[in-house]
Amino acid sequence: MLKLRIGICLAVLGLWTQLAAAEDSHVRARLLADVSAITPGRPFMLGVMLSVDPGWHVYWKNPGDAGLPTRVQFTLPDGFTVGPLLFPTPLRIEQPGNIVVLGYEDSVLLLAQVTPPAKLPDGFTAQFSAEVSWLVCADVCIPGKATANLELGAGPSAAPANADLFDAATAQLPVEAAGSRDIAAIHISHAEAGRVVIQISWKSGVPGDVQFIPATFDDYNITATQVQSEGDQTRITVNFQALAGKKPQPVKAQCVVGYKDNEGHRRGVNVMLALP
Amino acid sequence: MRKINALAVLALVSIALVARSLADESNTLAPGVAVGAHAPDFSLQDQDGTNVKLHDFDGKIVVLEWTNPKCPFVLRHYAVKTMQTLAGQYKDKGVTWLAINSTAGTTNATDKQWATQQNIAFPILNDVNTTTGKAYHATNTPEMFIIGKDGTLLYKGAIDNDPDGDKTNDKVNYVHKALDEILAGQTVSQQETKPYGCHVSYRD
Repeated sequence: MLKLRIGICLAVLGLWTQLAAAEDSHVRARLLADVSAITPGRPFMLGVMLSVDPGWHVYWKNPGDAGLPTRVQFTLPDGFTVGPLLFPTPLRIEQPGNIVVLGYEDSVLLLAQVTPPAKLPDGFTAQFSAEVSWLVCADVCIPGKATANLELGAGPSAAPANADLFDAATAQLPVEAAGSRDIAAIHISHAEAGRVVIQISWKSGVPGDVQFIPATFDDYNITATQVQSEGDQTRITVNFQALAGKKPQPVKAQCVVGYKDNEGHRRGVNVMLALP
Repeated sequence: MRKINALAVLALVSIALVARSLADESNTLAPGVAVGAHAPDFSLQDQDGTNVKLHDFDGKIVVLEWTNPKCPFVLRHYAVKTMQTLAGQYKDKGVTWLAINSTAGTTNATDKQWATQQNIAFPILNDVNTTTGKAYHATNTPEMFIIGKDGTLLYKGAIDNDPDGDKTNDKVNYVHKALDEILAGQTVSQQETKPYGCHVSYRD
């Protein structure tokens, strides 16, 4: 089996293993595909479905002020390749003490595109596995891991599977502003004097729950964010400060503006922030 | 005369409001204490009910360690005695180690239980009322602050560069490094890092 690393596994230290094996891990992981069988040479999507107990949350690739990113390591058959792990737009969760974390409540389907080889032997069955590691928190935090498996046969024409789940998760992935059906225009100011302003013009009124989801900037803290909406406009002011004693190099990272569309579904748009 | 006085008052009030809102803006923009600023005083009870003030340690180097006995990151460090070893190592060099517990539900009794379990020699301060945690904007457990002899904040951030606890050669304990630099009269080379761990579980 060809092991492909697309994330870093949490080390298995004694204490951590014990905690992960505890009965109440508050997270269940399943591995799904958006096809019922594999067509040679035709890419398809794998999805890691995480179901999280009410009152608990797991984290986005940037966890925010605390926590650990959710990580997945896929194991695929020889000749199969997998793309990067795709994260649907997370929630911005504000905890007491002005602590902001980024993650998921209830459930999330993490996606990855798999490309099968151009030829597969007759009767070929593929074994896929996903080693998932996470930190799940409510008041307390519990690290956890699980391996989820999926077996798929190969066939000439693959019928879709789990369409509702994959469609919903795909719709929740952050998109480029130009491709967004809800955004007319985005303008990002020059970052200076510790602040950058994102101005959004919405196509049909300001949606609900507009949130700024920051990327990790190694040498900067995002110190405060204000979101103000009026008419068809939202103005997001992002305040940043270099870590003490550091004179950072200019850096760019992909942040996300999350919101809820008219049907109540979470959506997001990519916003590239360039800090000086 | 009355009209002019009223306008003057209005003008003064407006200026005061703008000045105040600018000041508020700068206070809320970067919560907590910046490196180089004066570390805020506090007065908290330790596990024996003794009142402990930061001010008690003027002229000493003070290490503040935000802790939570239920946090797996804290438990991992205490299992390998990261904090206990550092506290013991620097005690005779004029460094005071204080753990602060802002976790909801904390009592002096639960802090005492933790101290006994872990054989902890330093004070564990009860910040269940959250005032000190919020003054320092402590967001993680563990999270470290080092205060110089003159009461200035010299370091804030993570205990080390190893959130997953699996580094070998390239592991750096930031507190160890900073304390050595401070004791040698040097400027701290890495004054601020991003802490890792559980969120501080404030009551409110």
